[in-house]
Amino acid sequence: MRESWRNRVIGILLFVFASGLVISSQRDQGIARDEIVYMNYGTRYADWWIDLATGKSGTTHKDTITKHFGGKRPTDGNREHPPLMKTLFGLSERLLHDELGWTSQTTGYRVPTALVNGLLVCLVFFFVLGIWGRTAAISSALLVLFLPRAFFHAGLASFDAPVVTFWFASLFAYYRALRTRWGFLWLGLCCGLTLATKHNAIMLPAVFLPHYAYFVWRKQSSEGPRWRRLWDGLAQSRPQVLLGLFAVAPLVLIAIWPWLWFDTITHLRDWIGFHLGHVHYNFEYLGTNWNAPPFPWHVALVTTLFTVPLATLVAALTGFVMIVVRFRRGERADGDGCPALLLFLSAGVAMGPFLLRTTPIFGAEKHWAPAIPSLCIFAGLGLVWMANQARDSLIVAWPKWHRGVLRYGPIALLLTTTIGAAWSETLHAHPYSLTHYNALAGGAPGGASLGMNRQFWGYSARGVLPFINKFRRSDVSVPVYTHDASPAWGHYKAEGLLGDGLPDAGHEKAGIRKSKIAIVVHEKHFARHDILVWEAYKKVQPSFVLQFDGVPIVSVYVRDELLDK
Amino acid sequence: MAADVPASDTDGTLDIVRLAKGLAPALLTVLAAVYSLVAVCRADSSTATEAEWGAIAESVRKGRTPDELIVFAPPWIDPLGRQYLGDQMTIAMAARMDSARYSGIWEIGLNGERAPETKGLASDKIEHAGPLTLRHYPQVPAIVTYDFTAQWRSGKASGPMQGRPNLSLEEVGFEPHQCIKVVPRPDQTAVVAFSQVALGSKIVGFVGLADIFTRRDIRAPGKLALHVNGERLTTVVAGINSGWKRFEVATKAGIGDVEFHLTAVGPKARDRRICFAAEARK
Repeated sequence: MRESWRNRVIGILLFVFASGLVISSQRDQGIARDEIVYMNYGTRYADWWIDLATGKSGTTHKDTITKHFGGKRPTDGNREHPPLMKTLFGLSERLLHDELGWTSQTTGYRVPTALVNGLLVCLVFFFVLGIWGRTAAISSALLVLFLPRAFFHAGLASFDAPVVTFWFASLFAYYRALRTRWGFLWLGLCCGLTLATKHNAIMLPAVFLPHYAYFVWRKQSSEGPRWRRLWDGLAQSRPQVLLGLFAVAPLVLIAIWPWLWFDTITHLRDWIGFHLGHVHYNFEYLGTNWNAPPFPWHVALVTTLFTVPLATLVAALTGFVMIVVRFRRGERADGDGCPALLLFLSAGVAMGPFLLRTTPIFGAEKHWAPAIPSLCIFAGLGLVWMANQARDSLIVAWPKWHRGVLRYGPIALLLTTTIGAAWSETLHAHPYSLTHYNALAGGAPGGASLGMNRQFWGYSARGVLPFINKFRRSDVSVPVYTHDASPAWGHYKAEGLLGDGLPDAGHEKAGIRKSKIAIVVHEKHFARHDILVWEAYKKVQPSFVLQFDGVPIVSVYVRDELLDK
Repeated sequence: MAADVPASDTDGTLDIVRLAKGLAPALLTVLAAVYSLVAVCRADSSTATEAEWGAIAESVRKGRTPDELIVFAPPWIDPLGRQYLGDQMTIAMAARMDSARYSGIWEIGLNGERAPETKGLASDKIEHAGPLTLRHYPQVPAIVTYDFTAQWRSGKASGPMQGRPNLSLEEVGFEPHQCIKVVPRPDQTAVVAFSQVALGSKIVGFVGLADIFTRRDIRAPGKLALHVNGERLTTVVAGINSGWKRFEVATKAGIGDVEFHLTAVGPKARDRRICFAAEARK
């Protein structure tokens, strides 16, 4: 098989493996609160596009667009988030669940994220392959897949995994655009898709412009006045990338988002303004509940340190140091297009806002997730460099040893252990990956003792459904106080995970009073829900506590009258 | 990416230092990977099983008297502890002001963890079940001459406030506490006065701001000033992050009048839910 075909097959296999693994695994994941919103609006957006494709009259009328995509209030039509993934969720559910009946409804909505995450693994492979070789490419791609937190987000109908993919696709497209005449069109397309996925895409120019300036500076000629040298550098640096970034990308965004087809500036301003003034949710970090700035400057760094598998971190640090050392020695560490610098800038820009102490920290790793591919690529490079170092030392020390063992032994050992450790950690953490912390933190119990956030959006409530189902009564309804799982309750019933006669009792005190069973999702700021339940149920004893590695994540209280039966 | 230095000298002797330098990064990474793998494999071993919790709960049930407290360490195992021993715990115990009035403390600790309530006490019983350790600490209970919280109806309220003071089960500093809740008007002081109080040698109390969402949205502090027989003995500021804050003042034994002056500090301090609990102790 020709080399290029072999690489394509590897890339496709990585895509299929990564997508399949996530699609299969997400079935155990509970539904997060925000997913329900995106699913509902996804269906609405998909309906609109289907109407457009089938030529339904009035589809492009301002009122029809507003009805589907917008409205007067800041969150009407979920217009605070761009529509790309929501539209794909809706179309996917329509096809895979409604039309073909291949998947459950939830899986139908989630498949696009899984596929897009598979695309990320594939893109990382091809990006690294073209610069640093196949071993580093495979390592980097697998390390991107086997990250407990990223794997979790890849299984949700949400934007956090997809924006990583499109962000990285933009890096890849930009890197290629520096060498090809028409590459700027791909760059514009990828940046546009990133913008249409999540608002942090607006930071992409902060990655590309410094890199481009450095690239131009390196390309400048050695003779003539400074302006002339720089002009020559610019002329040789495919200046059309700027066109891709600032002209094509916005056009792609507008094309995908009908809400921007009128009053464009106002709607864009509303979208970004919403996020600049976003409410501060409660979030536990190092034992403190944070809900107002100034936040600790180290949130992104410490959270990454505690959530990325330890060996991946060590390898990434090694890879990064190796690149820096080689650069300082004046060696061409990363090729003509300065891809290592690009990756470094990408990670820095993704994490940078969280050093400012004013950016909301709720959501933790998912908000700076575009930094993660850079980290995994540095890890892949680090593994290869360490293996080469070890191989060369062994060959010199014991020249009579079997060459094959010396040549392939170190890399085999490094890849097996590092990727194996990341894999095992990812599978172990699933489906409660937000409660999981790495070995450096001491696992889930260590994370709990350190006062790190345990979960959000009530997704883990799914784990208590089998216990709650035991209290179904054929003759009488047993209302359940569903706490943070309230929006997902109907979906759980529709999926057959929850029996009949266990309706959602309602919100807060009234819901608790009416309920016969109450669940409390454990987050620091949810302590008040335990207290409300104690007061209503006249006891402090839960009947069941869902735990992950011994760390409580959901408590279930049952009224004595049900327990006595 | 070749090694910079050979690991053996030209004379063929092995240079251990150079070899180690070449292998060290790889070995460190392998070590980190193995450490992670072991941590994953051993994740269950640091977790208490149902049987272990059951054994500890049984020992507590056998040995505990009704005036003894049960605590868990670290705090995050509290829901599990209540699952197995909640039948032995009242709401008043779980939402206590402090641990001083209990005649003994049963502490269940995971992996050697200790609860702050048992600091300085000597245990007379110790039992292990897997990663759980049960310790019993006898203590001389504080003698309460007057419980302001329990007698909250005797308090005479005055001053500008939202509603009336009431006994409430509240979240203060992310913990449950039974307390007298007062909501003074912004920048105003409300007073809860107790007359003919049986005073001991001291008054011990706690104060804090209830409800995480009002603490998030309203950042202004609350303030408690304690007056005994017309004299202000202490002032405690309860900020949004100060939790359940202790205060203690010495008093002269006898009958006296006690006033709690509660202030919502500043014009922005709307819905400032100040919660306090206090006891006069011998």
